[in-house]
Amino acid sequence: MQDSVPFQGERVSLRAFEPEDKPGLHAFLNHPDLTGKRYIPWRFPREIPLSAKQVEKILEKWGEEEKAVHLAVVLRESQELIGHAFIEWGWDPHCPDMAIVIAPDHQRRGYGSEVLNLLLDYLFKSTSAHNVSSWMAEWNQAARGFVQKHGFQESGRWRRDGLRNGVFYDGVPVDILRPEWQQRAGGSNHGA
Amino acid sequence: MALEGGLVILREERPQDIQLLADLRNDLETQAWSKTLPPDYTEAMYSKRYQEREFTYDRDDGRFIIETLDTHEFAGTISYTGLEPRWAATIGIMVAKKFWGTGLAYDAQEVLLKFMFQELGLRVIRLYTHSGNPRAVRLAQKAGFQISVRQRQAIFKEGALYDNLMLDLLREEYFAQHPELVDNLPQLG
Repeated sequence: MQDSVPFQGERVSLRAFEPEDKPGLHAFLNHPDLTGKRYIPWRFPREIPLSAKQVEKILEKWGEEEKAVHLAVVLRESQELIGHAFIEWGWDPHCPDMAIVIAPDHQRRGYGSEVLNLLLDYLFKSTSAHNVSSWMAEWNQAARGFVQKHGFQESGRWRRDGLRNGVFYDGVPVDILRPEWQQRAGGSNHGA
Repeated sequence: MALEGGLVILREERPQDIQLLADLRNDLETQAWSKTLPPDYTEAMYSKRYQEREFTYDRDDGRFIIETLDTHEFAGTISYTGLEPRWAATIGIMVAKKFWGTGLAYDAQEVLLKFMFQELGLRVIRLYTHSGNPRAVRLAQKAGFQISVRQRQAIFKEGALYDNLMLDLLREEYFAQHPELVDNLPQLG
């Protein structure tokens, strides 16, 4: 079995956020296509455009977290920042949460799949994770299809998670178990 | 006006509750958390927790002692956390074992829910438990909560894997259960 390098994909890699990432992060978090799809700390607005100061605070908060890791997704060739990925253990590494955001200008090129495989590789090969979960809004069909393609199952509904265009919507939590991941990982070559 | 039901009142914490709070936390059956905490909490720890609570009007939680209406006895604790104003919050309850099966937990839960829907004006209330705690699930379902999320095998305790459960109760579901109440909060969505 070939050893993979943690956090290094074929075309993307994951590294720590640095203060220089502020403008790049600011630009993509405020992209209209990411409205309601960004994963930022509790108490920051989900839909409202963020100021540079708010983005600085978000980076600070991410850097201070002890039971979560927030990583910058960069293109290996150009080192351009194209996204944000995180893993959060909370109180129990048995069931971590994770999420990935790819900047809208870089979507639909398979980068998200590369990042997801890197995160799951890390969680299942280097930590005690058994159930890895994530979530998205019910109207975010692209994200729901994406995680389903990668073996996640929907585990229910966060009823009345938000209001959008005058209509209540639910949050959709999803998860994948270690044996399910092992079965898939055994049968296919990851970045394929 | 006190938060009062048929069997209990909900009141603020007082110094005489501190040892009793530690006792509740130190019983694996009453703490009943998805995360088992070591049963070694001391009166000193709880005293510090009590002392360090600061005055503020900007609150995103509420912590109450459940006291029996007739004998003014400490019976447990009930709380809400993660308040999103006019939207949502999460509740939790711990009741001393001698009061299990008396209807007191249900009464305390009803008093808190009425406060949260009628005073705080919330649109949804959530709570967490796990599939190894059918008592907590039944208590919530009795108030109208439904299991909305079942995260498989996410909890390990008592030597077994359990599902993490999230139950929720929508505002209109609560009012449907309470025809004696009128909902005057503007409808959204």
